[in-house]
Amino acid sequence: MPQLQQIDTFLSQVVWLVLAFVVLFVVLRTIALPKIQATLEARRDRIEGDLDRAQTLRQEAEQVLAEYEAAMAEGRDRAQSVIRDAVEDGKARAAKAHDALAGRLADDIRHAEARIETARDEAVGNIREVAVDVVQAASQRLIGGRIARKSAADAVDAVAGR
Amino acid sequence: MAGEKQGPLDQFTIKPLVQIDIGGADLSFTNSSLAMLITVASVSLFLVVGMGRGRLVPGRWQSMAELSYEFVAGLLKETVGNEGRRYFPWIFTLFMFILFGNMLGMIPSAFTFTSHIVVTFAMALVVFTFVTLLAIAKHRLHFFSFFVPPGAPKLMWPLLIPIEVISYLSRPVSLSVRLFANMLAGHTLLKVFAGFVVALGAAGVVPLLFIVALTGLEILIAFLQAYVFTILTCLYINDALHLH
Repeated sequence: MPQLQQIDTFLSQVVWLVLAFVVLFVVLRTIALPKIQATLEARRDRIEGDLDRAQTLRQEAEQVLAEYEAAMAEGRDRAQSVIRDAVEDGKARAAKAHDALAGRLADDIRHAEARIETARDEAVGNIREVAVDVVQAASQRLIGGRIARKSAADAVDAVAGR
Repeated sequence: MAGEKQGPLDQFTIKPLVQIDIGGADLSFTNSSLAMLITVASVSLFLVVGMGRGRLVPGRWQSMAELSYEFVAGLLKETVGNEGRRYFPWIFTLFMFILFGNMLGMIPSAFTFTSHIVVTFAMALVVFTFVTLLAIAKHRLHFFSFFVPPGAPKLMWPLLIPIEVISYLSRPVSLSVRLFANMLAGHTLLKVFAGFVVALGAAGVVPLLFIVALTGLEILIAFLQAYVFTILTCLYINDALHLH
């Protein structure tokens, strides 16, 4: 087995092993490892930074949403109160207008009734005059003599009073 | 080499490519050294080129580079905790070095430097020494309480303490032999069955199919052994930091 027979090569093998290993160590220590570490760190920082930013943005979005909802609620309340005021105002104005109209109508009715009353009284008075005239004219035709207006009026009153 | 009979173990032969002799010591640049340098270059390219400019949304290659980083980082965090972070560059280098050494060894005719006990033992010994020094630096003499199992009756100490000491001292052996033996066995088995393919002629399809399956298994083992070596190192560091 050459591993145990070529003892004269042992020194060379070990020396070259140490040399190769040290060279590799120096290369990795000074070039490769810093590069890999920097890359991994940069990636980790980037990911953490992105996560942080996402977190901040999310919080901001939540805050904006809360503000929006508060504004919406306030607007809704204000709208409700405006509507309520308007409705009450309208109701009050309608009631007032209704009362005024009712008063006016009552007045009109009263006036009209009074006018009707006077007109009827007038008409009733006129009917008596006409009846007296008719009595006078009829008696003149029938009896050929003119009767006194007073008598005619008494006759009419007597008939009308029956 | 041509015409020479090749055994299944010949793949492990160290062949000098450039003779280097410093003060009488043979430090030749060999096929093993070449495999190590290719591993170093591959890991460096894989990570440095793969990371490119370090895009925020990674491509496939960058994902793999990041995956290997996070795999080892997760391993270290799970076994040692946050205190282990300072050892990460070493652990990561260790994992990538063994993983790529094993994986590149799976390329046919490539040399697997982790199949040599001296290499794995050297690595295990460094881990062992480092971990022991770390434990002593952190806990001073209290470190030796590590060899006393907690809650064991004093009567048992003479028996238990030698066992604990032996098991502690055998760590570098088990750590190195595990990796070495796995690589050795896998590659040897592949070559043995490869020999059958030629020897059996038309019936050689059967061992050929077996080799295909075995190659898949070996790739799994190549990863697994790198993982095991690394996680054990992490566990030893954890022991050193926390004792028990």
